[in-house]
Amino acid sequence: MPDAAVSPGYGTLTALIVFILASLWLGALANRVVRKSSFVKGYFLGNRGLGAWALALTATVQSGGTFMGFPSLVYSHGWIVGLWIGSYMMVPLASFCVMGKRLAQLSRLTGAITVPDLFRQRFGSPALGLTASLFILFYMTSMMIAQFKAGATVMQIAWPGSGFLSLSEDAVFVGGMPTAYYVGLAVFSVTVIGYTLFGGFLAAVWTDLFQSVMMIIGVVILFFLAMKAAGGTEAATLAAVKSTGDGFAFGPGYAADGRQFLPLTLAMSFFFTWVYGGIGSPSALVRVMACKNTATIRRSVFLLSVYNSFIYIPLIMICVCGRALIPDLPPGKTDELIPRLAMLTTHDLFGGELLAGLILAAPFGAVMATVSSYLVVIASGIVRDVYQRFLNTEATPFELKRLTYCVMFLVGLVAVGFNISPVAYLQAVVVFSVTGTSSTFVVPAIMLAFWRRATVPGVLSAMIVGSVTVLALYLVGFASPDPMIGNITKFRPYFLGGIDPIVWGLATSLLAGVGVSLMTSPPPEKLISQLFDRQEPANVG
Amino acid sequence: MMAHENEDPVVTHSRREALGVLAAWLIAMTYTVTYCYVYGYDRKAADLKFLLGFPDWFFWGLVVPWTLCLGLSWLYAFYFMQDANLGDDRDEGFLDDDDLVGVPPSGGEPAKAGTPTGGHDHA
Repeated sequence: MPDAAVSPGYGTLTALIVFILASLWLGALANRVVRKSSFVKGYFLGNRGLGAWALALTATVQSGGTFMGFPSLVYSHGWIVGLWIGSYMMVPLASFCVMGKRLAQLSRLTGAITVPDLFRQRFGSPALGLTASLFILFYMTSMMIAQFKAGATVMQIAWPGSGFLSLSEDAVFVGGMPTAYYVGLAVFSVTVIGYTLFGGFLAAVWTDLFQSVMMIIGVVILFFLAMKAAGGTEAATLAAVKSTGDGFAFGPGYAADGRQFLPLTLAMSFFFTWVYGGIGSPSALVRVMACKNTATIRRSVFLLSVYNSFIYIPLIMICVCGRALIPDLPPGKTDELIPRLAMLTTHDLFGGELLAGLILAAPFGAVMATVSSYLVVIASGIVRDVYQRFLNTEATPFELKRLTYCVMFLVGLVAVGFNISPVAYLQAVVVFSVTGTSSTFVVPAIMLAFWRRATVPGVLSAMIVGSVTVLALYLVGFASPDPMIGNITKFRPYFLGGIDPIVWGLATSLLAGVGVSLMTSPPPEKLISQLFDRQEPANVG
Repeated sequence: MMAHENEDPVVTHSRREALGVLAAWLIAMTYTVTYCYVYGYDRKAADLKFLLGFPDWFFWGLVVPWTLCLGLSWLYAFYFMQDANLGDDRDEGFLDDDDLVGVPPSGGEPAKAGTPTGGHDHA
């Protein structure tokens, strides 16, 4: 097996810098396109021009968690994490087929540009639009802040002479973190905020597409390298079982402290988390609104299914090999498994440093893609849905553009500020954000798309009750003793009945939405007819 | 959510496609969680068997249904989902201020959502 104490060289950093420059170049190209169109629709929605590849490979919930938090779970708990992520087999179908076509139609019929815009226009309620904006800002900001740590960590790993791969940590420290971490944080932040600010939605989408291609290249290369180094998953599993215990190969998963990582109730819960997270994510919803036509949506379903199959199952196999190749990662370091494997499996190869950089581009790209798309949604929420709708309805495109740039810069600064002393539990924050947005938006979005009888108070109740349920369970969980199920983290919810809060959030949201709608006056038939019934061609556009 | 007499076919087809996916999700969840729980929990490594590099329970409980879902997505994409005209994109907003719930119209009457009139938008 390869030596675990290798150091990164300049080749790795060079590969990452080329990757960064390519992303900046795409941002500049996007800026040229945006300048040719109306600012708001071009900058926040890309003029509804997304094709199948762009929609498929950019509208998903892959993030820093996919390449940092998720591998950490496989390393820590074993094969059962496959069941934890298993519902990704349904994510492409659910993300695009449940509401994709209908939301794309409604956003055109109403002229909506953002998700809050769509709620406001569909129900004729500014209050609903504002409420949606506030929830989006809350959940997406928390998710985005967590991503910065992952971006900075990848740069830190690639930094020559950082001594990063030595578990004894002989690197220079400033304020609790190695200096290379802060350099990484600065480079990552300037890059991602820079290109997103420059090109808006299209920059986020184009770089996301480029980065998605890099992700799959990285996973495929690392798959072959890790399998070769570990002698295959069978040998790796047996080695891992020897150093951990039988639980590594079976459910409910291995845990050093004896907890049940995935009892039956949580296994069922995570079939809700990722599927409804895909349906209800505001950044995914807005990309469906931006697609060209229904053929785009159809093709995206299949493209994403193939893509996900080549990402998640190979990643599990890579991480099982990782447990055998690097058996002694301490608990705080398991997030770094993929970058460490990249360095470890390439350092004896010709051009290995460049190859390691290519593999590291996968986690770096996943993080940049998430941050850029969230930056656009957060900026559009503040500029379009709050400022333009409530504070200055006569704002000129120039004023909106200036404010958008300021908002992106400030949001980026806040995220950097939070990561001076970074969050400890990346995957837990990802799960919280996905759970929160799903419980807040899935039921209201389904009511918006398909239910004629849905009313403003009903949809408002569904949003608030779903969200409050999740927040309350997280607050109780934070204050309660460790139930010894689920992931090892202090940022954990209270698992009522052993079930994840997403199930309770969706259930209460559904009850509140349907119950309150039926108890309040039906919406005006004329408005509903315009959005649900056949129209004369002249009335459609 | 019953179909309306004069309902836009895009709404009808979208609802049908959505219900199909939700049914498939329910079946996938039931099979996968049940199979993995029955055959993949609390076993001993001594009786561990591998299929194509995967533990046996993982192969039958996850790899096989994942492959079936890949096939289903192909069927959905190329056979089941119907293309539709999504309509033209409105450059102007859909509602006037008078159509908004909770916003008093210029005449002072309490406002309710009503007829869309093409309104204004400062994009």
